[in-house]
This record gives sequence, C-alpha cells and structure tokens, in this order.
Amino acid sequence: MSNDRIFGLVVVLGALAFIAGALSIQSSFLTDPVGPKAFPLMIGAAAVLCGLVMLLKPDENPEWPDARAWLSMAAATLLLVGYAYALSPLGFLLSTALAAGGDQLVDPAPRTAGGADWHGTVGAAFRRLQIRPWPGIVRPATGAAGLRGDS
Amino acid sequence: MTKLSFRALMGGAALAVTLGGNAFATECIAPADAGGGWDFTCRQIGKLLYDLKLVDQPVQVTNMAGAGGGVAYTHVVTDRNEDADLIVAASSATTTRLAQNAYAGMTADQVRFVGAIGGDPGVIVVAKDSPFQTLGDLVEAIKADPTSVTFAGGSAAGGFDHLKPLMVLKSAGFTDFAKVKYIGLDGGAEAITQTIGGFTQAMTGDMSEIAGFIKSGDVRALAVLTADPVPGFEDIPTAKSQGFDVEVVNWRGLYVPRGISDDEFNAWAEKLQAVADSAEWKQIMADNGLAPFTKVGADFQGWIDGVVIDTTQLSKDIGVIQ
Amino acid sequence: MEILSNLAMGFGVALTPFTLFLAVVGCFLGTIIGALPGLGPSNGVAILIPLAFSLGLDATQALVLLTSVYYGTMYGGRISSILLNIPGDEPAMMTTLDGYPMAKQGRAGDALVISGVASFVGAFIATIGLVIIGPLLARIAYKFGPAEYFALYLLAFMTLGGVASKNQAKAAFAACLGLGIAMIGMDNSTGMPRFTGGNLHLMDGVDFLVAIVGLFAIAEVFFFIESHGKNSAIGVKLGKVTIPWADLKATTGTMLRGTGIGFVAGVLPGAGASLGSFMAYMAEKSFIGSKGNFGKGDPRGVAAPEAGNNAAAGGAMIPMLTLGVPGSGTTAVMLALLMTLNITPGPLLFAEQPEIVWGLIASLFIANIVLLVMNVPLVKLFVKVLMVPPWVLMPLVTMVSFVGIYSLTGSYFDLLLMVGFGVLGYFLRKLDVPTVPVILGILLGIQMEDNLRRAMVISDGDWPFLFSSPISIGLWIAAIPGFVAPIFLRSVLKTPVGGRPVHGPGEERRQCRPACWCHRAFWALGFDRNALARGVALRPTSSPSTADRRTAGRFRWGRGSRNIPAPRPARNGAT
Repeated sequence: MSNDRIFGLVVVLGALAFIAGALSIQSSFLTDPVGPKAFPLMIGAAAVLCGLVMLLKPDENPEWPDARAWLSMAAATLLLVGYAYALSPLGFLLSTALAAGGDQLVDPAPRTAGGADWHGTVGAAFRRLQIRPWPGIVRPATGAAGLRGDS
Repeated sequence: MTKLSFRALMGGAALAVTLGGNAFATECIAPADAGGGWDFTCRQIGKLLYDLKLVDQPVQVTNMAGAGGGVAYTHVVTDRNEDADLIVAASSATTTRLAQNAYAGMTADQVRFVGAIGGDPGVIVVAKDSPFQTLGDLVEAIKADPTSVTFAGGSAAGGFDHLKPLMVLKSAGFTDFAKVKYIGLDGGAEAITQTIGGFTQAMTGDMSEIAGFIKSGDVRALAVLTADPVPGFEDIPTAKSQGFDVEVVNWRGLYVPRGISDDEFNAWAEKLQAVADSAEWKQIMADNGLAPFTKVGADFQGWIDGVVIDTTQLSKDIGVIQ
Repeated sequence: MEILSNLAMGFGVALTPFTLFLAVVGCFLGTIIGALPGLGPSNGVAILIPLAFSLGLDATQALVLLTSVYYGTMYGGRISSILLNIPGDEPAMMTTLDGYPMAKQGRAGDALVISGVASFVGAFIATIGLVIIGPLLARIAYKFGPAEYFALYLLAFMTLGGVASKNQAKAAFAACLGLGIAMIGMDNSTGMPRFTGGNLHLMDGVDFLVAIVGLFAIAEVFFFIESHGKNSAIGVKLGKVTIPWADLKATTGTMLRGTGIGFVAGVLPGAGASLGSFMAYMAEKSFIGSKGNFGKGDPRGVAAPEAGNNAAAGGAMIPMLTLGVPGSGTTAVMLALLMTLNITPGPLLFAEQPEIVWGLIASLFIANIVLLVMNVPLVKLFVKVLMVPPWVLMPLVTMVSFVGIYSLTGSYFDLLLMVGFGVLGYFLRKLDVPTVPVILGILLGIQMEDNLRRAMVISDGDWPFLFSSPISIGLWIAAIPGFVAPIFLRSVLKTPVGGRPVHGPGEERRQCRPACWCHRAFWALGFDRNALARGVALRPTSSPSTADRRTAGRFRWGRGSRNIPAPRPARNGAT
C-alpha cells in the first residue's frame, strides 16, 4: 500500500477526531451567530476532503532512511525530550552537559571529520564559545510572549 | 584563530542577549496587546517605578493577550504563583470577568490585588458623521430595533466594555440584552478603527483609549459615564446629565501572584502609593483623561471582594450568567 | 516642500555621530538576531527595550536604536533561510522556498546579495511611501471591516496550492493543520477552552514560534541525522560573494512589484510582514507564470518575498503611528516603546510631535543605508556566524532553538511541543507536504475566525454579508480561481497522453499567468477537457515567446537552462 494512502487515512481519521472534538466544545452563555464550533468544523471538513484526495490519488513513495538512521533519529528524539525536561529544573549548563554526554549514544556511526558525528559536540561548542556558568537557570520571559498575532 | 574568536563573540553575544539581559528586572504583564488600557497601565507605572527609583532596573512589559485577560491570569496562577518580581495590570475588566467565572474556573482569590491608582471613565462614542447626536438618540434607536446598532469594544463579549452600554440600556428600561450586538476586538484602538470605518455604529471604551481620536475629531463622544464631567473634556456630557443614572469608571491598578509573602505584598503596596503620590503620575492622569482614584493595599483587596460580589449580582441581573 | 523641510528637520535630529553609532550597533545586532532561528523581530526589539533605557537614551536615540534593530532583523532573517533552510524569523519563511535551492546550486552568495538588495528596495521605497502618503494611506485601515479581513485571509489560503508542492491536496491539508492548531486554546470570544484536553499549558494556545522552530530547525536536525550529514542544509558552503548584476537587473521588476504588494499588506493591521512576503511571492509566481522556476532556485523567488516583507515592515509603521493600531507583532512592541517614552501614537502624532515622527522616519532611512552596506558587501561577516562546521552548528542550532523558546515562554511543555513539531515536520516534508502553510495557518487562524464571527454578529448571521462590499468581492474573485484553476489544470496535466503523472522538470508547465488561468478555468468549468488539453498543449507555440527568449538569454534559470538540477525525489517539497 502506498505511503500516501496510509497518510490519507491518518489524515481522514485525525480530521474526524478533530470534528468530534469540535462538537464537544462547550457553548458559552453568550453565543454569537457562529459560535465556537463552526470554524473548527469547517477546518475539519476541509481536512477530510484533503485526506480523501490523498487516499484516492497517492503520489509516489518517498525514499525512507535505513534502520540505523531510524535508530539514530529515535535516540535523538529521546535526547531532545530529555533535554527539554532537564532544562527547567537542572538549569542550562548542567542539562546541556548531560545532553552532550547523551550524544554519545545517538549516532553509532564512526567519528568522521565533517560527517554526522556530533559526539560531545554540544560540550565542544560550549568550550569554544567560552560560555560562563550562569547562576542557576535561564530566566524566562522577555516581552512578546503573547504576540501570537504577529504576522 | 580570529575566525574562531569572532564566532565565539557572536554566539556569546547572542546568548547573552537572550539570557542575561533581564536577570533581575521586574516584569509587568499587560494582559492585552500594546495600545490598550492594560498596556498603558504597565507602561506608565513601570516607567514611574523606575524613574522614582522604586525598582533598580527598568520594568519589562510583556503583552500577553487572550481571552480578555484570562490567558495572563491563568499563566500567573499556574506558572508564576510565587514570583515576587511580577506585577500584572488589572482593571475593572479583570474583576468583571472573574465575577462572571470567565477565566476557566479561576477565582478572584487566586491572586492578590495590590491597588488602584486612577480611574478611567467609560465613554460611548460614534463616528463623526453618525446620525446619533445624544445618548438618548442611540438608546431610542436600539429600543426601536436592537439589530440596527452594533457596538465595538476592546474587551471580549460579556466583558466590561460590553457591560457599559448594557448598563445604560438597563437604566433606560430596556432589558432584552441578548439582542444587543457587540463585537470584541483586540484593544480600544482597533474598535475605534472599526467604528470610524462604519462597520459598527458605536464604540464603548475608556477615555484613555479614545482621547486622541476625540481631539482629532474622528469620533464624537455621546456620553461619559461619570458623576461629573472629566477635566479636560468638559464639553462631553455625562450620562447622568442626559437622564441615564449610570456611573462606570474603570479603575487602573495591579495584581500580584497569590504565593508571595505579606512583606512582599506590602512592599508593592507602598511602591504603588508612592507612584500615585508623585507629580508625574498626576500629570499622566491629566494628559490621558484619567480621574483620581487611589486605593492601595489591604483596603483595596477588601474593596475588590465587594466589587466582585456586586458584579456577579449585576451580571445575573442582566443575564450574562446564570 | 513641506515634506522636504520636515525631513530635513528629521535628519537634523537623527544625524549626530552618536545616533549614527547607535544605528550601526542596532543594525548589526538586528541582523544577528534576525539570522538566529527562533529570535525574530518582535522578541529582538522587546529584548533591547530595557537595554535602551538602561543606557539612558533619549526618545530619538532609543527610537533610532530600536528601528535599526527592527529593520536589521527583517534583513537578517533571510540569511539562515538561504543557508540553513531554517527561516530566521517568520516573515523570512517564504525565502527558504527558492533561497535554499539556490544555495544548493552553489549560488548562496548570489541569493544573499539579491535578497539583500531586494530588502533594501522594499524597505527604502516603503519608507518613502510612509513619508509621502502615510497619513493618507492610514485611511485604508478604515475600509477593512471583518468581512474584508476574512476575505483577505481566505485569499492567502486559497492561493496556497502553489507553494512548492506538487499536490494541491497536501498544501490544503497543511493549511488545515495549521488552522486546526490555531484553534487550540481559549476561544477569544467566549473564553471557552477548545482542544486543550484539559491541559493548562495549552490554554494559551500554541505559540507560532514554537511551531516554526520545531517544523524548520528541529526537523532539519532529523534530516541531518538521516542523511549522515551529506544531504542536509546544515553545511551548505558559501563560495565567493560577487554581485550578480544581471540577476539584479532582471529582478528589478520583481522587487518593485513585491514592494507594492508588501507595502499595502503592511498598512493593513492584521496582515503584517508574513502575509506581505507570502502575497508578494504568490503574486510574482502567477505573474511570471510558466517561465518561472519557482521552488527550485529562481532568483525572483528570493527577491519577491524579501522586498515584500521589508516593504511590509515599513508599511506597518503607518497604522501604528497614525492610528495607534499596530500592523504586526513587531510594531506592537514599537508602539509599546513609544508609549513608554510618553509618546502616544494616534491621529494627532504628526501634528503634535513632528520632531519625533520625522526623526523616526529619518532614522529609518539611515538604518536602511547602513543595512545595505552591512548586508551586501559585508554579508560574509554574518555568514561566518552560520558557517561553522556542521558538527558544531547542528547542536548549536538545537541549543539556540531550545534556549530561545525557553526564554520566551519559560515552559518545558513548549520545548516538548517544539520537539513534537520537529518530528511532525520531518514526516510532513518526507511526504511532500509543505510546512509553510502550517505556519501561515497558525499565524492567521485565530484572526480569520474572529473576523468571520464579528462579521456574522454585525450582519445577524447573514452569510451574504461576506460578499457585500467591493473590496471583499474583489478579494473573493481573486481567491476562488486561485484555488479552483490549479485543481482542474492539475487533473488534466497529471494524465497526459501516456497516462503517467508528470513529475520533475516538466512541472513548470503547470504554472500559468492570471490571464491564461482565467481562460483555462473558464474552459474547465465548461467541462471541455479536450479544449483545455489543447489549450495547454498549444500554449508554448501559440503564446508569444519573445519574452521567453529574452529571459532565456539573460537568465541562467530560463528555459533550456543548463543549471537546473533534477529535483531530488526525497524532499523537494516543503523546503
């Protein structure tokens, strides 16, 4: 089965789930003529159509990476997730150092100049940048966090 | 080697900008986009706090728009509950929405209200070429056909700006509030743009948001919702003088996270009092159509508790909550 | 004359050695901030506001510094778009579409110079526009009500099909995905949570910066690992930078058109620079039609969006200064700055505080010239920041992404979300689903819905209200063929005589000027497939080809070009 058919199916199912989610949105005491459900429903319907088109008219399959690359990418994902969790409680330096150590596990490829090798490179990058230890943590929030309308 | 050190410089500079720039500064969250009333509060109080040497670094203002302040409120309660370097701009709109349980179940006792240091009179304006000459004209038109007038305002539906015209209508004996059309925009400036463009027939907001447009003649104020005319805008009639017994003043103040200590709370209260007493603040109030309105500390917290109860009752009366 | 004397006054205010120094510093910092993924104009300016105050700058000096940073970030965003395939900031995302393919072809230097000059043209002309017709043009904002904004956003999404994807359905799905993500969070009108699953972190929605850094930067890390560093953008080399005069001459028209479109988009509050660059790109693509090589390294695909987004940045100053309504996130921050300086933008600003306005305008001109110098002859300086070896750069990209997002939102949840977007971005790009529409959807989704709902409140739920003004009708007329025509064309073109889908080099045949679009759409709606097929088949001989020959002689990317490599099958889509 072509990848696009699987993807199309996933899109259709996801869109149906989205529509189901939209239907369960609570209405408020003050509703306008459109309400909070209508627009998500329109999006869901459009996505179902797109999924069906993909299902019926698939493109050619892409070239997928080999098993080893998959493994590396999975390990990298885990590492990034771990880094995300570590950044807040451990602070910037410690978690980055840990991530740099965890690097060793990510890519089993041999160390080659300019290759995919990022063993310990985060640490190396730090040494090169001569970053001094910050006291404790990265402090959150300068302005603009709420500027989601920036377009 | 020069290459390398250059790189190091660049990377270091960028990171320093990201991380170091704001090490211990006070942050003031304005729960709306720049240009509105909350933003004004943060900017002006923040600037005075620094100018009067009450804080040792410039106050950083973060605009956190969404859900009529609910996004910022949720953020403070859930993520920043013990942050003593955080102040948040608040106003009647904040307590209104809390009273209406519009912050996703959050309640007014989840933060501490430090104080109010000015009142922003409510105003109802129309475009300069509008057929409505008095507040009475507008009310009569709505009574005759509620769909003929759409109000624009800077708060979400059911918010403080929405309540203003409803209160006027209530005092005139019109109670079919669900029929009154209102659209909420991101801030008063946008609401005025829509009204000048003729997409809405009237705009409700606060004096500070509208003053420039009234002076330039783009909009005409039908009424100011205070007991007495506002200094500097004496030619705008009050709603009372036109026979509508309504008084709506939007206080401008701050709240802080619940989890800070009493000492920290009192320190903020003193600082706010110092801002309120300064000549600079009096000038700012005069320039922007604010009326004096100062309540600070425990006094203010008690007053707020009463306001929340009253607003809940009012909201029930006019039917926006059950 | 009055304008000139005002301008002279402005330069008198802004042209002192110290302010010039501030302009240089601001431009330099701005370009770097713009080039770093995750740090864009709005947070760049926001970060530097406290700096401006702690340096004790007066109003004009602070304005000079921060406008330099603002314009600098707009210039800088393109650098990582071209070299890393990661937009440095959101308006630069369109520049990845052709800038990165150019870099792949060894023309990174050309792309940087062309985009630098285009940025200058866009920003400079927009600043002139701000001077001459600023207050007048502000009135356009009054003409746009909810229905008009809805139609404008619709136009953007309807023309998405052409964004570097071979498959309209996939581009449309990408837009739906973005719009769907935008729906997450508290509903603006009623305060009701939507699609949050009760998760408090999702209450305030998904920040588009999280999405953009995830979909581009983190996904690029996965591509880097997948190809073991061979096929990734990270590590593209920059050769000697020379000025490609022929290309510059050939893209002059493109730059001017992009400037015009971007400027108008900038003036409209709620459109802003991203929409400006998007519209400029799409318009140029349909204007050039089949002669273009868009999505595969067409210099015009670099010039148009860069001119567009910089012109929009200038245009966005107009509603900010004259109405107090920010046209974009960055101008919102600028507005905040002005108010902190006790300057209240609004209808009276030009009359009451001319020295501020004209000083600001003069500083915009100064910043532009400084930036042109920095970004064309000295571009290598900035490139060095990004041209470290890949084994350093990739972790650095990751680190800057993480720290940038964390410093902005302060939440580990957003970091996880960003990694999630990275994985999503990898699979989307593998499956040839463009990621640009996803970002556009997240950026515009809420505003699109809000405006629809406002329109319905005003009209009491009367849907025809959406088509009731000349402006909205015009936008709908532009939008519908933009979406419909390519579908019909594609279905015909995908099954030529042999019955096999056309892929790769033949693809540019699907592009078509607006006039011919209309013809084809007309035929298509008449269900005359033969006529349509004939029309398409005949087009190369029946349409005047002098233009083709002219461009082919001058451009390296013209027809019969020797420089177009066959697109790599794996990932020529969403890049």
